[in-house]
Amino acid sequence: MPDDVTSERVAAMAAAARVPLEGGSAARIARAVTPTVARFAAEKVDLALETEPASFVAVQRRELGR
Amino acid sequence: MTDPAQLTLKEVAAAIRRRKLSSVELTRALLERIARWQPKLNAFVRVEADEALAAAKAADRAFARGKPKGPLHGVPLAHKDMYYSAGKPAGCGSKLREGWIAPVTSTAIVRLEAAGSFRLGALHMSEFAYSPTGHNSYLGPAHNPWDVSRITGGSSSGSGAAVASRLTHAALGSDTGGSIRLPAHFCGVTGFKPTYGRVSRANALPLSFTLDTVGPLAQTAEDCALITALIAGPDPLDPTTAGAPAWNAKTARRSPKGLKVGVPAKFYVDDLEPDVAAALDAALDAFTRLGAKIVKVELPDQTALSAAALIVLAVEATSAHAPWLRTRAADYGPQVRNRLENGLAYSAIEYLEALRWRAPALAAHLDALGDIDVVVAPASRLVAPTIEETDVGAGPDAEAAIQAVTRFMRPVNYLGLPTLVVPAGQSRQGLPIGLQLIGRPFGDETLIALGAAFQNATDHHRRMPAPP
Repeated sequence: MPDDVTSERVAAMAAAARVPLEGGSAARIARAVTPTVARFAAEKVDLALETEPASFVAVQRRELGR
Repeated sequence: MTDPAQLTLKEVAAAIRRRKLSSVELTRALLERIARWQPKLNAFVRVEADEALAAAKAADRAFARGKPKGPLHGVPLAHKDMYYSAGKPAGCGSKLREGWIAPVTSTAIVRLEAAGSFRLGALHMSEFAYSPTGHNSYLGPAHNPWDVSRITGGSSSGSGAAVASRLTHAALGSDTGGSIRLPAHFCGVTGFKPTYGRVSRANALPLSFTLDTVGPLAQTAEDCALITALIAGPDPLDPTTAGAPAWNAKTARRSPKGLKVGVPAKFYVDDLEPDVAAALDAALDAFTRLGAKIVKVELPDQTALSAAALIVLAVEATSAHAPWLRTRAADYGPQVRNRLENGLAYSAIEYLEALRWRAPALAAHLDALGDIDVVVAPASRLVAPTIEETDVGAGPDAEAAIQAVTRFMRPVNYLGLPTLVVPAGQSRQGLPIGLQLIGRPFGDETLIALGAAFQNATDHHRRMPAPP
């Protein structure tokens, strides 16, 4: 996973989302999000194949019996 | 009697019940106070004086007939302008919602009105609840009642300012990345972010469906409990509340004796302003005197949780706003437009990995806690900065500045934890300092119990800004 975001990537993703960007915006966005993308990538999260977003609720609800 | 505006919510509701105060007297007192403060604070976006007085008269008549509606009978309340009331405007802090009339009513509002409260008006907020400072390029900034040159915090900016200056006894806010807790800290009031899934978000403005929570700001932990007890619980309109437990009033009144309180060994205690560090130390002494046991806790790396939270928030907010970004982007304020555009840059895999990681991240957090009941942490390293120094607009440093303000906020949202912010001191400049009491999932009532005991032993929550 790339841990720095290029303006080319941003421009392509905005086009795919059909959201027009003004000149210079792609570079600004790339600068703004790169620290977040890099920090999350550095965590190298190792997710079990079976883990889905709703698994959170299962962990959360275990506390109800505490 | 004492100025009714200065009573707590619990006290004012009891005064009406005991016929020591009428709803009309209370409503007039609040309207007079709003007229004095509003030009200084910009806390309200609408004051509905005539309708509020009519509702107060109706409440007094109903009470005279022996038909009180519930525990908030006759109490006028104002909420963040993102809670829909059918037939009323809900501007959500944006030009894009100018003139929009809500077709439905938020579940939280339905439940508060069923308990007898009614609308006093609507409160200032950051545009679409997407800024932590209280700046709003469309409405102008809200001002902190302790020093009007300073920020209120956001996005529940009007809720913080209005409760601090006693213009409403409680106000709903919302918290996706600190939007209840930051105004509570900066304005010196009590703010409660419930466990994710405990309170229905139905028909309130969404920002990030994975992280959004609905909760109150009020003078005291007991007042927050009074509101939360009414609005919590399952709602067919919000599936995240399925199976949510009913409010346990007994636990909310328990003694703090024997509670295990964790103090983070790092992150939340790094680089604190000296006044904030002193407030934390004093609070820990108070908790010890109340019978709690204080222990150090090594939490998992909070910066990774913050990054994951930011990815989830950014993508979900941008997804919700994509239709307007395509057609009316120029109608957003520059900062919110930029933040929404940032959400275009994350890949689907990054978003889903951030979302799927919530379960193991929460499990790791609970492992780190062991049998700790509550974690205590500052709400911010800083007291309220000035409006001018945080007016970063859409400048190149805006995202970094926003993340600095919300540094201690995002991990709680990502893990869906309940958190109570209590006033815990003042800086040398006289600005409020709030502490976060962070609970276990569905440990909401334990936080209220500890917060209420702390407030019975201290007077930070009773301090009020000087009137204009």
